[in-house]
Amino acid sequence: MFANLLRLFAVFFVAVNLIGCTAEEKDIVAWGSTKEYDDFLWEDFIPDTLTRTIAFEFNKDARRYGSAVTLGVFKRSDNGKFVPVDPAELEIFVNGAKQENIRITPDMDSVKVGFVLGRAAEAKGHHWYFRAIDMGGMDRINDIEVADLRSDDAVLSEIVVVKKHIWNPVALVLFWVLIVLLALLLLWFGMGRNQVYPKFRGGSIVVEYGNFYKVLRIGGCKQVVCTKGGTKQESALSQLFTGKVLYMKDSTGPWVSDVVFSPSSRKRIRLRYKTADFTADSNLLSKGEVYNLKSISDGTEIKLTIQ
Amino acid sequence: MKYFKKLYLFMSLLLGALLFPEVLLAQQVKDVRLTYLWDVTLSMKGYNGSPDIYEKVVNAMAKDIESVTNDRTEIVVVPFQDSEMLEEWRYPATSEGKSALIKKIKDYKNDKVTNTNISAPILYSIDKIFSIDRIDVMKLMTDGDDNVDKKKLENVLNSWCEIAQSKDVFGYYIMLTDAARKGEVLIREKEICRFETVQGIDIDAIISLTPQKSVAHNLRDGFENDVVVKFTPNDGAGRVPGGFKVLVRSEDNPYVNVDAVVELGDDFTIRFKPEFKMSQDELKDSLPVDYNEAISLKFVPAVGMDKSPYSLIRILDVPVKMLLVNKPEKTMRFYVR
Repeated sequence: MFANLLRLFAVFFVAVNLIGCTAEEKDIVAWGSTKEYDDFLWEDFIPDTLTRTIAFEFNKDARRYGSAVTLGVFKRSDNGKFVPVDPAELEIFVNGAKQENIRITPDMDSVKVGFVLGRAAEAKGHHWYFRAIDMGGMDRINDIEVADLRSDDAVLSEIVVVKKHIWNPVALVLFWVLIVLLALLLLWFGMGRNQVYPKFRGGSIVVEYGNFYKVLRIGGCKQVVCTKGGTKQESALSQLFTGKVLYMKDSTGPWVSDVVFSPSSRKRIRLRYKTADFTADSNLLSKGEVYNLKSISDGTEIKLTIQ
Repeated sequence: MKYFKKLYLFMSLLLGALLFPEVLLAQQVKDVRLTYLWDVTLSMKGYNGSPDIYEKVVNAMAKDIESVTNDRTEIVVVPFQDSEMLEEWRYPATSEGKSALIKKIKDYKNDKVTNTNISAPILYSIDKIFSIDRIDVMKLMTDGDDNVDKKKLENVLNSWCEIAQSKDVFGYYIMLTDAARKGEVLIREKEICRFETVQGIDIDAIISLTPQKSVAHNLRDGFENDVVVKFTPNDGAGRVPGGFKVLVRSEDNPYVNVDAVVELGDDFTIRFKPEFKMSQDELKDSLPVDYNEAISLKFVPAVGMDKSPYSLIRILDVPVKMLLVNKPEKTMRFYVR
């Protein structure tokens, strides 16, 4: 039985692992890739800053006579025109300070530019463009003549920023815990419970002594307990997870201690009692047979008919 | 006389714009359209002893379509057999559009035995699909030879170069099996421009590199500098393996000679040193200062780059100008690292 359970768990965990491994991740790296998730319980989303270094080369004349060049990040609107990327979609950080655009003076060699994608940015690959907002008196930027750069649809460079929407890590862990729990419950109720706590498949036990006569329908129960009474009662949870126990209570009966019937095999019932209190013909009761159980203390003969 | 000069200047500019529209469009961004001309004759499914590659091709197409990230890209699929009447499935490369298109490809059923007509889908694309407002990339995938009208195919290929240049089209003739090799022979023999031939089913692994259209070399204060040319890879799943080498050559000119094999860097740039035919001072004296002399550069994969793992990398046939800057200029360059 234990071996069967182990096998079942093994199959289950292999299946879970296979499902996990088939989820393919593919990253397209240009400016970078970021993941966003919704706030959930105590885990709030903190956006990544995608930082890249932009290096500059100004020639001698540019260093001597040029002024600051301003680069903006643009996207294409539905009608194909270039429009600045909305600050709700993109926050720009230049050397750690939030800026609207990237301003470069000819004495700079490089700047660290960080992009933080806002909630308004869709989860997809964003194709954005650097355009010169202020040419700073340059004649040529990135090999492109300034006259060409003034065109409405001229760009300096294209960048791809990928945003993926993922599950909140806490929600994801909880989800998988839930899935594992559900799977374990399914396994337990489908197979495990009946392996660990076998049930009577049907039939009945007729208990007779003195004037007492009772037919106990035992189908679906995991145990039958003959007892004097008291507060013995299976909790609902225990009944759900391990099965029902049928109590036969008789406060005036010969039940000095509990006598327990449980399934042994398809056609046999195991009888358990304290040998100091009872004696019986057999501890294994077969269907269609009649057995005697005798109380040692008062000598009451109890007739057990297995049907 | 003064008005005549102005009119002459205006007419020259207009003529220039008409003759060399790519110069005006040099720095403009054009959306891409990806067109798959898909051979669905039964030979693809193993009919008559040919290898059954149908599912593999469908999966490679699906992967290629799925890997497009720019949702402004348009994707068109034209399944073809021998008919002149062709179906056309056109979708934007949004996640919904891509899913719908992939479903259409996977659901496609065809059980009719027919000939293979390769000229029909090319002509259809020229007439109904390609347009000047987009960069068109056409992937013609076939496992056989045209057995309907070879003369017509020859005529179509003869006119390809002119049409491809005017409409900004780049074609790939993808030979899915050895039986399609005759098409390659035709394209190679005729030296058809903007039509690359590729062997194999790995459609999604084809990588096209587009060089920047112009690169400036400042003779005054950057004479000793390397020339840096940036390439842009296509939007897709393919990755360029390290060690890819490019042969760069310049056209004949009195100033500079470029004939170098250089390695493509991780940032998709190549660097080379031009060999000037005269000294810096002589160049300064020889070259004009009121405009920049432009030298044409040609980039092709270097010898040995037709072997694995580089065999599916192509450099698009785009005219590239190296400007020899002699006029005083203030210039800035930036690189994203």
